[in-house]
Amino acid sequence: MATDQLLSTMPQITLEPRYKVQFSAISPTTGAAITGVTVANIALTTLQTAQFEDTQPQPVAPIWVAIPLQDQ
Amino acid sequence: MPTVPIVPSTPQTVPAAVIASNVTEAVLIAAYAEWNGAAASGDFLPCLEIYSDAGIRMCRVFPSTTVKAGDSAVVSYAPFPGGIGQKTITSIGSLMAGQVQIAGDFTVNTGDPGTVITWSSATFDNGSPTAFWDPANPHRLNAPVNGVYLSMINLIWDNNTVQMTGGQFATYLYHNTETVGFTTSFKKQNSSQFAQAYEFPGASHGAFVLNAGDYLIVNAYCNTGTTPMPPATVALLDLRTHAGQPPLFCHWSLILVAAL
Repeated sequence: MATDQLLSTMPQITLEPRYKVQFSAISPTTGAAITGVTVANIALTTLQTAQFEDTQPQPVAPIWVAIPLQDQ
Repeated sequence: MPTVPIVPSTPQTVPAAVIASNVTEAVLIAAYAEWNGAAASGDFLPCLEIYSDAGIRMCRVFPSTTVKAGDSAVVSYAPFPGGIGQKTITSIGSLMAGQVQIAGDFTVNTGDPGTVITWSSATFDNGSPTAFWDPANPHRLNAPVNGVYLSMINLIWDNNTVQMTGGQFATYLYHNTETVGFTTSFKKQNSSQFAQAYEFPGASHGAFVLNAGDYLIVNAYCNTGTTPMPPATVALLDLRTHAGQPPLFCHWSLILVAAL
């Protein structure tokens, strides 16, 4: 498995409160989402002190509903 | 210029997002992320997107290089006002090279003008868009592209059978001609003084600039040091066909070391 060292140009952009920085994997040909990709060790550099919150969605727990048996 | 590491640092399945939660503005000037595509469903572009608080996508940026499914990438995102020069550092691709061999012993006439070697087959050849060796012209190795090529010739002269004690073995390289002669030779390999043994005067012919479609041939030359020259022929050996000998054979390699 190769590890590429890549650079990407990015506009210098002002983040307002509740702006979201999102990392996504898309197909280079169709633009469709590519599944099975993970991202780690994210770091953001800003000119001002800023705080960010992680919004990784949590898995949805299955909901179990108990249905009592009716007496015959 | 604070850098904010986003926790947790454990891998997160994309799309993964972080939200600016501070109450004032912050100018984002760089971002960094480590991508793992070991389980990716296909080749992908590692994108950074920014969405407004209303959910409007304001930008989507990504490197110019696609990450192959199964590979990983370390990506830095920044304005790069001077532009990005070297965009990608990846493993070096395979060199382009071709090698031909002689199957069985090959007879070389002693004295002028020698004998142009006919090669039997390619032992390897990854020339592109054309092969280095074409059996329609079995004397030649062809340059697939414009570039600098390294030529290496390894011959085994039978000086054991004829037991000559003077003279020289030599190979001459010719460029875009099969008319051999002293004045048309392109390069002469080092000679070897005779001794009773198999001779391996097989050093490199050196590096040459060739254009796509150019070809080289090798002329084998043997001077016994006497006139007339006894014997009339000397063999280039394929020791794979000689009992009790190591599996050595005559071969010629042409390797592209730099495309121009």
